[in-house]
Amino acid sequence: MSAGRTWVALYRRLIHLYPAAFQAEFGEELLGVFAEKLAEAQRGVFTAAMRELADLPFNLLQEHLHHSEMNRMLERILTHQKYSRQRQAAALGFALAFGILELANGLLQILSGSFTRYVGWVGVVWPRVLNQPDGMLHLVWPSYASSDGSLQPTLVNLALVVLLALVGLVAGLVAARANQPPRSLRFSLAGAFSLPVAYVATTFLASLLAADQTLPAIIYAAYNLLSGLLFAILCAALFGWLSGASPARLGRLALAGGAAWVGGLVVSLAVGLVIALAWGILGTLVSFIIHGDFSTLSAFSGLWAGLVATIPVSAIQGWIFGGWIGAEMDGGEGQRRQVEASRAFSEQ
Amino acid sequence: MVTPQIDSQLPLSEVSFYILLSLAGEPRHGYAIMKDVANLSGGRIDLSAGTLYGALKRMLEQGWIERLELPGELDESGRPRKVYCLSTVGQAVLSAETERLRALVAAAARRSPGAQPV
Repeated sequence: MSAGRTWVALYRRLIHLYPAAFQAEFGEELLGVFAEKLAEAQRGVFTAAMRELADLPFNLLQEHLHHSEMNRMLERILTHQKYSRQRQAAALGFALAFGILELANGLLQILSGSFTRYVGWVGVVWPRVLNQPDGMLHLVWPSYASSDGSLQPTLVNLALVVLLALVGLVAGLVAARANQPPRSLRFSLAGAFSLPVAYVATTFLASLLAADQTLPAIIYAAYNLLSGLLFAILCAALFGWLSGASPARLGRLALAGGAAWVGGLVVSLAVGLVIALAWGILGTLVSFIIHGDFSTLSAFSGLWAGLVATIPVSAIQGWIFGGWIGAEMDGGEGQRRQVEASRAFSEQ
Repeated sequence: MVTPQIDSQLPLSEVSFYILLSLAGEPRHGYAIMKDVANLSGGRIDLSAGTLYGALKRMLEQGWIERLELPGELDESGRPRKVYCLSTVGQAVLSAETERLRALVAAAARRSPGAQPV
């Protein structure tokens, strides 16, 4: 068997790694082009085959992502945001609202004595794991003044719920604006109600978990992530239910909410981590220069990390989450309009 | 005139631009596109089969190109060869991108010392 045939046989097997739909549509053509390329390779069969194989992992990843449900959802969100000014307004409104909420939240934490300096970048996930003076890691809610690790409700908690209701109101308004005919009142009330209710529910669950302060830190850390997801699913389902979505659509809304939250979390954590680390290190150095030791303050690093990181982090997450709300509540209307516009253009 | 729908697709990636440009002349099959893109780019762009078909797939989905079967021409497995051709929308996208690039070059030429106007 010639070297060319061996490579073609290998490539035939590798094509099976593509998604089934892609294989069915382009598999034979791919193989044919690869064989022709090898047959006419001027710099040797090996070089030509390596050129193809070098690209293969990226092409496989791209096609699998293109076929995944999550990617379709993200594409749909991006398409909506790209083609509709209303969706853009919805996403920006959400981003702004989340940014303001997190900024207010960070300020309240600092004022109430929480140790934001450790985990400013985790601002997107409300329950936090903090290193307490006793050397243990404890779950601490930003809405509690908890420098000693105890969970004491304060006015901050109430303020946070009110803020959430305001954010929900904005969410409802932008979602209503994105829908024709507008159903402003119902949507606004749904938004105003669903965010704080979802927050209180997840807080309650976390409080139950945190009752045993000796739980391993890893459990708290895992809950940090899961509570955000739970919050998104709960919030999305509530929002859909209160807005009059059908039971069939409700499950899809909840799943979409969870997926949008995870997507937003991954992106925003990556960005937030870099920003917070940079500012945190700088803040700690400034603190050391001014105060002479690392333990005293902190307010600098805490303030900077908390404030600087939470705004872009929340804005990114809000943008993704808000984009989804606008897109999902719109029920594919924006995409339909885009296809129609494209068809009309072709017929001209 | 560039419509908002087309304008939002720009700028194109280099690969997309060269593929559309290759199909602007005549319908071509996959390997012919690959060779033409290498030729158009002066050998700089050497497309792999996977990259080419990934791009073709997305262009088909967007309605920029169409796929036809040539009954008279058979591929290596004896099936009618598939060729790709530019659609009206694809032609408009290519024109808009060409215009955009022309404007960029013109702006650069105006600022470059001793450059001739484009």
